[in-house]
Amino acid sequence: MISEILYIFFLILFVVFSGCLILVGGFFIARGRKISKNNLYIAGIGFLILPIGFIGNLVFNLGFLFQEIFVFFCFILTVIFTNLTFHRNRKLAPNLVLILVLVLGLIQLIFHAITSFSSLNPYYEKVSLDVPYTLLVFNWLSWSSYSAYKLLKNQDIEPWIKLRYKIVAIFSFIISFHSIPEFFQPTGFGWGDPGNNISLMVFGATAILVVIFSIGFTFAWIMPNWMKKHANKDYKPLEEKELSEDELMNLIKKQLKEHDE
Amino acid sequence: MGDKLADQVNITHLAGRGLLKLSIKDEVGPFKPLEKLSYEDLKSTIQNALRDRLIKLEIINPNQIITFLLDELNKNQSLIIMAGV
Repeated sequence: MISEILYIFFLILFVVFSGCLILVGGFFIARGRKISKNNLYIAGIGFLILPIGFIGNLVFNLGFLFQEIFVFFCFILTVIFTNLTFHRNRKLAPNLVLILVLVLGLIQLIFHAITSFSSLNPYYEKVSLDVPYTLLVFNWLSWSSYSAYKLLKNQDIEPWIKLRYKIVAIFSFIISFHSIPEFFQPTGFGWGDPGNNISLMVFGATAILVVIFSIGFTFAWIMPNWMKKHANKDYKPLEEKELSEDELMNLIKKQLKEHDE
Repeated sequence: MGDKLADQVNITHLAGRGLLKLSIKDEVGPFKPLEKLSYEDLKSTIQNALRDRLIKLEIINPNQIITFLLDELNKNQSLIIMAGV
């Protein structure tokens, strides 16, 4: 009885996770359209398609291969978003990460296809390669956000923006470990099978990790005004004065002249 | 970015921000809102319109300032999304 209740609770967490991703994905696409940013479209599509995979597997029993196809596209699009947002001027490292993720993702698809269409079940081989796959995708985003934050933390930038960098870095780091519980999944039982405590706990640990990530991400990107105000409470923005082009150029010339003297 | 330009040119932050805004207007036109600016827009602004304005203002070593600002743009490129969303 308790197992069934826990299973339903963990399923609800997956529903919350899917809901948050749909919300953030939709928000990215709407914002991407408004401010003409392709990387937001890319991330938006990635976040929108991931829940399709989970819903297809958990609700409609379409299988893990179905789910993995959507995970694959979500991960690839997440890396492209990271590269376009943080590393536009760099070539080697971002492309290397993208190629590695592509290869690791294809390997996962092959493993899932083998399990789906044959009697073989290379479970631990699959999980062993799933760990570097997820670690790479989300630690790349986490590291990129943290590195950028370190560069601008002492600059005159509104604190809520700095907070966004920190939240993205922390929650991407947390989600990067979500495939580790899979190591403990006993073979021969369905994922989250209430009849097996270990399987249920593996399912629960994954559900908790993904829901923490999705809530964190939702707050990072769709940051409520109270949160922005709280982050900005000690911040005094530079007063902008509206000057005409001539006034401004004269002011600059005057300041340059004063400096030369 | 405007503040960093100001520090390089030895003008106030208000003037530095204004100079950068004027250069953006020169480069991409007056009708493109700041939030719609892309990395490429900012890069070409620094390389073209801002350089022209620095030369007109008879700033010493405009190329050095341009290189510095392009480097700063690369370092802070994520602000275009992180502050714009």
